Amino acid sequence: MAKSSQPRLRAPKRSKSKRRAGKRRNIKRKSPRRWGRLAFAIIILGVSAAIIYAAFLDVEIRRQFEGKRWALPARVFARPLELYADQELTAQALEQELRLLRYRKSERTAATGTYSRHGQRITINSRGFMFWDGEEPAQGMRVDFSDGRVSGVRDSSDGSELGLVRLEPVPIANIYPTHKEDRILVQLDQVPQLLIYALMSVEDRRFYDHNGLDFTGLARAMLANLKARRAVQGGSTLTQQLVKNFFLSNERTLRRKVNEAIMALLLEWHYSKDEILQAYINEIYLGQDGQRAIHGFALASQFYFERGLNELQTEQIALLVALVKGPSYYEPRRHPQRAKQRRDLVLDLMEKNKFIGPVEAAQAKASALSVTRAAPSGTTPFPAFVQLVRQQLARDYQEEDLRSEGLVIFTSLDPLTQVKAERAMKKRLQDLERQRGLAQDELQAAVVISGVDTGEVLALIGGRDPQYAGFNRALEAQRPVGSLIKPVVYLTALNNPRDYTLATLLDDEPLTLAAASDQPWSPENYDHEYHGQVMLRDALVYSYNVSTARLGLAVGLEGIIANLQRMGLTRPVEPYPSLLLGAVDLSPFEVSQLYQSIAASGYRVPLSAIRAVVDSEGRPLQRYPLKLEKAVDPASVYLVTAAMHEVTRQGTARSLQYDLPQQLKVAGKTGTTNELRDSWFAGFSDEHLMVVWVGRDNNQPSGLTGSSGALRVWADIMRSIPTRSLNMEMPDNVEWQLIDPLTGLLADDYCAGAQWLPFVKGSQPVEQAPCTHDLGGTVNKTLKWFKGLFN
Amino acid sequence: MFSLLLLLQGCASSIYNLPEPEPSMPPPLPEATPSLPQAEPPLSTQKQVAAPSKAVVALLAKADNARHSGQLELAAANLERAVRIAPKDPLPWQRLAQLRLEQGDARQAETLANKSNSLAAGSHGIIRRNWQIIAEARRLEGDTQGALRAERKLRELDL
Repeated sequence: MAKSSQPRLRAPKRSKSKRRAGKRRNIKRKSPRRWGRLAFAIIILGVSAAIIYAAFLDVEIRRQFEGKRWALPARVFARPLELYADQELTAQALEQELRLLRYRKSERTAATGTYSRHGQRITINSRGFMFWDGEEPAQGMRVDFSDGRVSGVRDSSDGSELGLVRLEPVPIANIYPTHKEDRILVQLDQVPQLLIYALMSVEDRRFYDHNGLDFTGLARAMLANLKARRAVQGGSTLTQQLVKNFFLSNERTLRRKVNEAIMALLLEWHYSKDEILQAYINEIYLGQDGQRAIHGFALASQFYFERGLNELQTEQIALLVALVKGPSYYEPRRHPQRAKQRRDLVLDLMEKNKFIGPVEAAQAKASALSVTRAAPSGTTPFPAFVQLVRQQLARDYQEEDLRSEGLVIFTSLDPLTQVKAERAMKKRLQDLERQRGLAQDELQAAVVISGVDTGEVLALIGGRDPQYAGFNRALEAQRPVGSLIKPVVYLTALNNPRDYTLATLLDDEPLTLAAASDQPWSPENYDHEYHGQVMLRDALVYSYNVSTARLGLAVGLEGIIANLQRMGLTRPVEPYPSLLLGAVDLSPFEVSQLYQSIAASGYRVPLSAIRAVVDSEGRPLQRYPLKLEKAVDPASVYLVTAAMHEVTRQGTARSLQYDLPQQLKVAGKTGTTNELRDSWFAGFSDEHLMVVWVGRDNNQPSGLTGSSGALRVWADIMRSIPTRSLNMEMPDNVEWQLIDPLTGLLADDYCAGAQWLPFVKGSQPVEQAPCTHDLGGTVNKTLKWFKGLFN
Repeated sequence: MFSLLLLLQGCASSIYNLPEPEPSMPPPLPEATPSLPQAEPPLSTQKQVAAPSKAVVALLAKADNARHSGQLELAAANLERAVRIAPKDPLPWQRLAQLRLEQGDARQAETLANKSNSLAAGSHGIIRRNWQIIAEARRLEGDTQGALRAERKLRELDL
């Protein structure tokens, strides 16, 4: 093959060589020029390659530097605590909020993030915060309390009244990038000057003078290291370190060194010193928390001292700068000795460079490391609530954006309520187990607490270990709701005031329904008795099953299901008669949505955990506005609520009469299922709606009724949070009448046991009960006389 | 009867997943234990609308400023903040209704005005303004009959 192709190749070659021969002679003569050209070409080639390479690096650098530089975690915040005169809040609660915000208790300072307390007066130096609706400035304020209320909020410097102040919101969770890098971005002007001086003293003295590389600095560092016989100073400039952190792996090769140098020069060529310094301060790796990498000085400041950069002392600044050299080797919690030595060296260098005086240096060196004992956890203390937040965010945001775009998410969580609820729930479950001889940790619970009128979720408990981010019973456990369904049955009946009032007499007599398949259906009462004729209200108050089933069948299952849907139930429900007694599986969260419509006088508000989302620059992306829907007639809701209030006075939840403060009126309903597997209570005050479920994960009986289990937890929590007594506005078309419960007819003061009942105007009975004619009834007369005596 | 109950529990199907009957107490029997008639309704029947708190007034003013400068959602954010602070005060609800009306959301406007009304017992001025909002909202929705009804209500109020 080579042979055959030779002739063809040769001919052109020969002819070419002929021409070239002549030229060659010429070239020979001009040989210096020829070499010059070759060298030139090589140089051109080399330079072009270098330029192309540099251009490539340049693109890389600018892309990284100007584009989105860091994948930032989303930060989730609790509701900010509002402070205003006449607010229901104790000094103790405010102090707890300040502790959650990591304020330091300190007497003589006006530094932000500090407070002091003298009895009923708390003086706060707030940090200020950028909210989605504007900035709340840092402020010195004095908050006075009396009788469980805020009596005044004043400017601590001039005593002038401050109308309304918002503290910063407590951070409750971060949604981390997949690579688990965590950081808090800061602008250069938010960084204390001393930190920059310290950094320069140790890492790069001539930072503002060199152009990316610093040969004098390198020489000096080598000399210093020789003198000290160990590496005390690095030779890389801050720019080089930034490049290394930004783009390069940890390999120690010449190629990397060259790349680093070129990129450092390019970086300096494109960007100002301040821009580079700011990037450095945000990028630098300063610690590790399990899988989470701590980057940047601002996060490191939180991680080691639980305070902001601007709240750091000199020695704390020095420690952070000391960590640059080796965050793991100098880890101050594990190696305090090494860390202190390195910190003191930084302080020495700062003094040597005249950034601090000798006295300040000595004082700083004499002080302890002052890192907090345990690193603040990167995992949320409220995983159940955060799961709800993520569920609701998932409707509008991609998972990847949540992990990387640095979104700031403002939620409705009230950490004070949450913490109190957790504490009360845990204690009560232990007590119940002890009293009932149940094994320890046998019982489980779920709690949902929301604002009655706003539908905001204030607290959420997914299990008895609230810190454990596992099965979230509040959202995911679906259990039969039992009698919790009954208010909807009664509401549907009362929607038709011509047919049903609270005084309508219902039959509580045996009932058997033939079913298409299976056995006939014969509901029974809990006490296995039948109660004859009972007032509609009392059938709900005492939770009679038979009369409720009869009522529901008469009203029609379809109407009840339609109301369930209007009240916010989204899952399909089959129209089986057993639905009337709660044979429908719902989560505590779904039950909350249903009861929300009742608690809010018939206006449905979707339960929501998110108020607003802003981007990493603080620009509002989305607000979740308050949206109402009229779900059920407010008059029927008023009547049902009156009956549910009676449940808590003399019905199945009457233990509340001594479990709650006497002046605190509430309304609610108990629920118990098959063989005491599920214990429920759902109820509300004027301000808070709370649904509690107690049971066992394996669905075995717990031996608890709604009253003996969930209601106890409910009462403990309701008692521990500040809330207002039920005070429903009476609709115009409702009026109260005194009724004789035996006959359901109009009563008067002569009727023993007569009860006040609300009616939709025009629907009240017209007939007088026999007791009103019983003028000769001496018992009643005597009673009346006594009553007059005490009035 | 008890055996039937056991049977039912034994063969609990999706239809007959029967909830256990509720623990209940028999109602007090008036004959056996004579008691006094209840002195008054257990829930209050009348309520005075308290004057809005200073905090609420401050937020309403903030919302007004935002509204005048065309930042309607910022105005809404401030009004919702007021609602959270004083959910039983009819005024923030009314301002929110007014704002939604200006934004053309007639349905929300009417619902919010109704909600405000449900809290406004005895506050003639607030109720009057709410009915005006309702009338305007209905007109915006094209519900002329409904608007006329609301206006009739307004005239009744003025009588």
